Amino acid sequence: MSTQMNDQLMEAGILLAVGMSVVFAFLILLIAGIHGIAWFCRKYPSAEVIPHAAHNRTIQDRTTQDNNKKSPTSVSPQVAAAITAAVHTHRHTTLKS
Amino acid sequence: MEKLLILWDSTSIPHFEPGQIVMMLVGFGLLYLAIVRKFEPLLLLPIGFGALLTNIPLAGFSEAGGLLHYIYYVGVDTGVFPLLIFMGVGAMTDFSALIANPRMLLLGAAAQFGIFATLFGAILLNGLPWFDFSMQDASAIAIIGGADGPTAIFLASKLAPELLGAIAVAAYSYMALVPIIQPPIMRALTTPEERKLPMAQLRVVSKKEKILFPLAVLVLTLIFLPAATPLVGMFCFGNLLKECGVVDRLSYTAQNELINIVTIFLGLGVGSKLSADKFLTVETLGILALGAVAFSIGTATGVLMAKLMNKLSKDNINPLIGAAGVSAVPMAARVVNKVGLESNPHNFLLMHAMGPNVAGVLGSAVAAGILLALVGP
Repeated sequence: MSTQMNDQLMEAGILLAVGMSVVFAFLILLIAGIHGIAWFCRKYPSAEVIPHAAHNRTIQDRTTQDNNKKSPTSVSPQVAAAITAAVHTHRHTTLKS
Repeated sequence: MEKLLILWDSTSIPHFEPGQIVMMLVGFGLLYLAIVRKFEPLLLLPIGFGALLTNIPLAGFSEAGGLLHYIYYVGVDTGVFPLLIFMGVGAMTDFSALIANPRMLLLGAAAQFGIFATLFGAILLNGLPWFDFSMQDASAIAIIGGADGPTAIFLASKLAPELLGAIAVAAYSYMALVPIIQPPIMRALTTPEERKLPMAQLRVVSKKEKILFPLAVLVLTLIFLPAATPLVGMFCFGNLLKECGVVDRLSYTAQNELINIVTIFLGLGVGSKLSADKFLTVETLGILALGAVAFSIGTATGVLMAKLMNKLSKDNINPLIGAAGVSAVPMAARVVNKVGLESNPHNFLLMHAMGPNVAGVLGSAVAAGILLALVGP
């Protein structure tokens, strides 16, 4: 193996060590940044309406205000409770505690 | 008779060189892969057609004054086209899965090992008499392991423009071959039980988080890795257009008309580099082989990192999602989902794999910035 190739392999080794260290360091910093953003957003929540929550609320309103005039898409509280219980049980049985 | 000879001489037939015919066959091969096999058609079709045009004798498409010559020097040589593509990709990317589970960035980081490890392969090939890769060439080749076309073209245009055609073709070919290359590696490195692991549902991410995310990435990049800001900056700009919600017209343009127009010109520009003297070399074979090695190592290290994280974490992490860390959005995530479903038909890993998948885009852009800073001109 020539001296030049040895030098190049050494340089590649340094690039590997420095490159992977910087990639990990940068992305770990970004993880911290994302946690910081999440903390900030929890502390200062905006007045945005989460479509999912809004939809649930609409369903609740509909079912409580007008039980006799259910639209075809409405879900009764009993069915919603059954689905919630099933999901809860599934998560507890399949995921690590 | 003399007139007939002049007419004969004005046709391409007497001017064809064997290399040009071979390269036109390569161009037809790329068109076949794009149209019939649906392998990355958006890029391989214009690249294949560009290869046809550039090898037409007497037409002078790639000579000074030719259309492809200008397209290449305006958009590819300057690095403008890959950056505009990156902006469009940013405008099409949803970071929700990553913001909801930021640890997935570690998988995007681990999968970049393929890039740096391939530097050794390129240098070792210099031991053979047909190869003479410089460290800049080796870096441009190794970035194929990032499985990100624009990043590979951007870095190659800066570090090794003479290898650009082969590097671009290798990068897009391997991205198209993700469903063939990755699954055997994923199965070899995981147990059937690991592949069945379900993962906890991701939390809902607020709009404010999605708006702040690209700004945070940009600030970190400009402070710690300014060499990566062309790629990361345009990516973040595109993503901010999408997430801020006040410039829908610009976001729409970035992710539709603009990226489509640039894709056409980028493909033709790269195709113009597929001339016989530059492509029909033993070096091209070396680049194709090294690209496959880089891609495979990146997949393996992503999976191994996910296994390690699963061991250390209290929550399940299915090791398969580590394979998506190589980027190749969204193909790699789809492959993870498919392999996961083979082991457990009720286990949908697509959204979980999108986290490391988009992390891989950032990781490969950061790796390109590092290579540019350390071995760049």
